[in-house]
Amino acid sequence: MTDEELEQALREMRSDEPAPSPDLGVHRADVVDAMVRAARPPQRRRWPVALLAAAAIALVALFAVAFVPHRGPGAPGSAPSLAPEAVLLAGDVVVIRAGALTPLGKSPVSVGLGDQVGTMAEGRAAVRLDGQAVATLAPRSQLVVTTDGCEVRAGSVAFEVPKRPPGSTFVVHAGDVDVVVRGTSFRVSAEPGATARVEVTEGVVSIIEKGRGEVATLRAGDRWPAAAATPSAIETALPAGATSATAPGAGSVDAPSSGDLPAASSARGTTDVARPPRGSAGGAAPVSDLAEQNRLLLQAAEARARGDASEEQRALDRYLKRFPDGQGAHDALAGRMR
Amino acid sequence: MAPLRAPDPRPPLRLLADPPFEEDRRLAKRVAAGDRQAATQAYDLLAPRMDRAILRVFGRREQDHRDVLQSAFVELVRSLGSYRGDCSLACWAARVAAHVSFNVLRSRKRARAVLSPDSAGPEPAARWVDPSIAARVRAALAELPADKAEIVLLFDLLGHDIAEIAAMLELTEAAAQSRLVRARRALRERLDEEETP
Repeated sequence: MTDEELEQALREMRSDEPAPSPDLGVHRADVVDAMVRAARPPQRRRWPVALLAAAAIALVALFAVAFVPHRGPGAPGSAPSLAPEAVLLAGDVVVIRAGALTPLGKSPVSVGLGDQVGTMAEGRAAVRLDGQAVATLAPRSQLVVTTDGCEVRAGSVAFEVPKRPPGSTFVVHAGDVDVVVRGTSFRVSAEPGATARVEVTEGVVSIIEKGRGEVATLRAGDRWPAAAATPSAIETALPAGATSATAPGAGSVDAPSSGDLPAASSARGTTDVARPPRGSAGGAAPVSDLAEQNRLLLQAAEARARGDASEEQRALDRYLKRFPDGQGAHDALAGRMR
Repeated sequence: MAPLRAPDPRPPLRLLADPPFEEDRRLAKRVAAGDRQAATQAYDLLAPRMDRAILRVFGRREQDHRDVLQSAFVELVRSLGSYRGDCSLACWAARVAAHVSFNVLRSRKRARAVLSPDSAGPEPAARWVDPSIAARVRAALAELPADKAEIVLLFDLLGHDIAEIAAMLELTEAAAQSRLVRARRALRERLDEEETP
């Protein structure tokens, strides 16, 4: 068959418009029922597990306090359980708590659930999470402390997760991607609108997509998605929703917006995540807020043009307070940290 | 004379643009959350497009058309967590419907091959039933790798342009064009193989 014949055949097929099914309305209720069922996956009993885990941690902590003699920091074998805190490494870094923005100084600042750490253009910071896991933020990065680990909302973050007991995981959320690590070194990075990329240098990492479960297991030297891999129709139709990395080892992961990293043994790695795409769970404000966001940004821009620094700062503060996860938060943070 | 000021090192404050398919994205979010009203709205909006995509793949209304359509909607709901509003929800849904239809087509071919090995030669059974060139093209499409079959379907049968397809497949337009060329070549080679005695 020649190209012309194929072209002709395809043209004929395209012009042969099929008559729409006459009974689309008849089956609507059944299909809608199926859609609603599909949207509600079986409920996982997360709270009981979380409560049991919390009770176990409390027991272990009590045991440690009561029976284990204190050792100096850095003593061999010591595994101090330290409160989460953020440490300034360089440049300008801010901690946002309940909408209030605090510049990070030379002294470490305790961070808790929901607190956000953001680095400016030249800023770098380290955040100790979950006792021992350490996240190092590259410039222009945002990280939020979560119950199961953290969420990387923008930029590039490197993780070092110490070994954990079996069953214990550390999760890094990055947009639509969850990375679960039990002990590995890896790197996650992404660009707006791009697919997450994962590179493992040590150990094993499981890639999990939301709604699809585990889609790949990577070992040292592996990458995801593989450059040569040709995604199937549904794979490309259903881009990675969640990525989880479970590993004893090391590697790198490039993910679009969110990732969860549970660490079961020992983990070290980096997560680079660009600002989540609009509409991702990570942070875009509803479109109805767009005008309000623009109004505040415009106020700040006009104040800057007038040279009215205090009014500019006030407008940016109002923006960050109302839209800490808004699309303009990064620019607002940069403007605020002059 | 106004005093000179040092250049501001900070990036300029940019206003935010309205995302292109925000309405679709919000509807998808509600559907994915199990909102029945949103699911009904999505069905009314998308059923004609998905129905058309399925009919395009099969070339006719099959007996289990309703089941395929329902499967496509279920698959659509499962995929919505990944929908970011880069293309319209209707395009996304058509793509999911086409994918589900191709899977059904392939599973039928596999079943035929198992049930009657003699008929599982180089010529698909569809050719015996309907010798038209359209039937041959559809049968050959079903044997192509999924990504190749999909792009031919989207461009040549469903009539999407390259820009839409690039958004759907999260490719650059150049990459989408290149994939289409490769897919058509593979389709033609597949048809040539069938013609070879």
